[in-house]
Amino acid sequence: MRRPFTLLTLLSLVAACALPARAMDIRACSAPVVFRGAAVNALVLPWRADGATSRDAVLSASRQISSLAHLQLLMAMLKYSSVGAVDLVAEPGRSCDVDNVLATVSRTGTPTGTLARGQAVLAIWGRLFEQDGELFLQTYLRFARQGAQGLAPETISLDWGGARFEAALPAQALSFAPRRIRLDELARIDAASRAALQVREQPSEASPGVEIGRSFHESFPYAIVEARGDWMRVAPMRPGLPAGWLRARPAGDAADWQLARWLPELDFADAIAGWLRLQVGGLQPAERERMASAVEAGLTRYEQAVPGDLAPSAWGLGAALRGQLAWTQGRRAEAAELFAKALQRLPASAAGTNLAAVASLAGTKPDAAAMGQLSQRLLAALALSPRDPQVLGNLQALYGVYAKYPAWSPWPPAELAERREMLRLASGGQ
Amino acid sequence: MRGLLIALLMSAAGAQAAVVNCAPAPGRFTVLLSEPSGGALPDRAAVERFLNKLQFELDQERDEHWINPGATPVAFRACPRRAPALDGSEFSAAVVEQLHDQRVLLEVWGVVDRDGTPPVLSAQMNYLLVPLRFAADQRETVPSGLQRLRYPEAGAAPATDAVQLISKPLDLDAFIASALGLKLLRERAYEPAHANLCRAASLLGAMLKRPITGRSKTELTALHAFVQDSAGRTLREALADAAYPRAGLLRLQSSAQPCAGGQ
Repeated sequence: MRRPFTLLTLLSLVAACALPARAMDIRACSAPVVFRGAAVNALVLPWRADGATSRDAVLSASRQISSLAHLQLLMAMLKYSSVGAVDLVAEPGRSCDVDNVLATVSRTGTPTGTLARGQAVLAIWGRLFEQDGELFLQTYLRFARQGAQGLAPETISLDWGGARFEAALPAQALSFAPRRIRLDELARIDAASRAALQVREQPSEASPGVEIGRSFHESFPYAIVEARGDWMRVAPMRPGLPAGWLRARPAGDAADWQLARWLPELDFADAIAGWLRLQVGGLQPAERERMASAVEAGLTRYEQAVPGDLAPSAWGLGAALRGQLAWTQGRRAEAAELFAKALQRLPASAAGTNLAAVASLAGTKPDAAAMGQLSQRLLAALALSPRDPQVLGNLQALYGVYAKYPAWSPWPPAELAERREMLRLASGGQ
Repeated sequence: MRGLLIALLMSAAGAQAAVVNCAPAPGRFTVLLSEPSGGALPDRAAVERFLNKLQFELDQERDEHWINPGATPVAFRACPRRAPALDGSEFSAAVVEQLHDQRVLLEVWGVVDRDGTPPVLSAQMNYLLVPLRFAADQRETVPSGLQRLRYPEAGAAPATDAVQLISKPLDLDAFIASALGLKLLRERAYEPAHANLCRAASLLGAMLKRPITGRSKTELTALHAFVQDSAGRTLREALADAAYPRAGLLRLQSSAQPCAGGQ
């Protein structure tokens, strides 16, 4: 009898890092791990069945989707090098708690199975609903890098007018527009995808191959020991498995067994993985360029598949990610334009308003008019989210500049002092 | 004459039956998803499939918590056999008061048609903002609590799925934030009321940039202005309320421009 939710599996492939064998053991959502040596880890959690009418078929589809998503996301991520991917499975009668999973892998003071400072993680999961043989899927994504005390927000900063201003991405979590796929289509993709996943004797499609990852119930532990273009030489981390060459998914590959054709969120997740890899750093300029192109390609594939009015959050975040890359490369005007575009997609985002406001300062001379404009935009962000720490910090910084240059301040000194005190108390008395 | 009277009575009974009770989520703000009419949903099975899919798309519960932990949780409830008339005539003051007491923010229904060769889906969706209609029933000067939008909008790609046609995330967010902000203002929860009203003002402002025309645009414009005014009123009432904290952050905002540069 097939028992997909009790046979816990960890499908894993990790590049450029030697791992203790125990890291490859079977894992459940309640005991997640990441590959400590990988710059970016992807955690693939289940697509939970909601309101299912045909339980067995839907539970099987649920497992099939997360297993396929794991496998195909991993193959896509290989081009970023130093990546790991973990397939997490819910224990019987329980569901995966994303907060708990991320808290576990980001706890500090644990030398194995957790993120080291600067390393990145993305978590992808979803829920599904079946009606008349058709699955409706909704996918969610969160991503972050490990800071000193756990996961930290991705920020940009700018010194302007003698003060430091900070802004975070509009979001590091999003829900995608629901998609649909027929159950029989899913079964066909699953079979074709696994048949295509072969370890070959030589780095060539013509070389004889052995199928691996035959079933979504099987463990799949490999390490990458060499790379030649799209081809990776993989070594099994358990006896009895074939060794050889595996081809990473080339950018833009749209083979009909690619789940991303039905679930373009995987392209977006691929882009996020690349974007995170760029943030982790340690790359040569040519590698950076190649990865930035791959990020752009992933975002574009998603946007071609899903119109902006159905997925404003993803389109908005996509613009912000592009803006952040431009910002870090010193293309500040282009970055400001991209952040403004992100805000158009996410008009009620406090973080997006703050980001656009801070980026627009680059290249602007500090004076009373520019300060006044910044003040209005920061107050607009505060109106949307009165407890946003970056917005509060930026208003404090701005009012600090006003205190230094009272002629620029729209408020008399006593009122300015009162405002500063309110912000200080709201920021926890700092 | 007698036949006409019976027909009228039957039709009245039918209208009452069309707004059968639909239990909201206990203790939570709720959006009711009532049955639409129209040729795209020709029988009960089609209507129920539509409602189930719509509820799946909109009601995100715990996932929403993982994605947006600070957001006010709002439950979506599919309401089979609750099918208000397109003009909203069944929403008497008593019905609206009951919805308001049950913390229902919004009721959504409409008509979805499939016409032409090849057949193309189109819809008019109605959004009843319960706190706004409640205020109107209290003889307050407020705009219509009923917003009507037509889909697809000019220039939009034709939709093949009725749920996809009508579930526009920003539109729902805009109406929910408007209703929630107005409800919280009535409850004197000034800070969340202000945040939601400013959020609504931003979202409605973005909607007004789209090719929305006619009555929909007029109603939406009026709602946008009212939401902005209400954000200003929130600030004035908070500052006049002795219970509002001396260090409350609303004191940083100006009632003349209540959502600052965010509009």
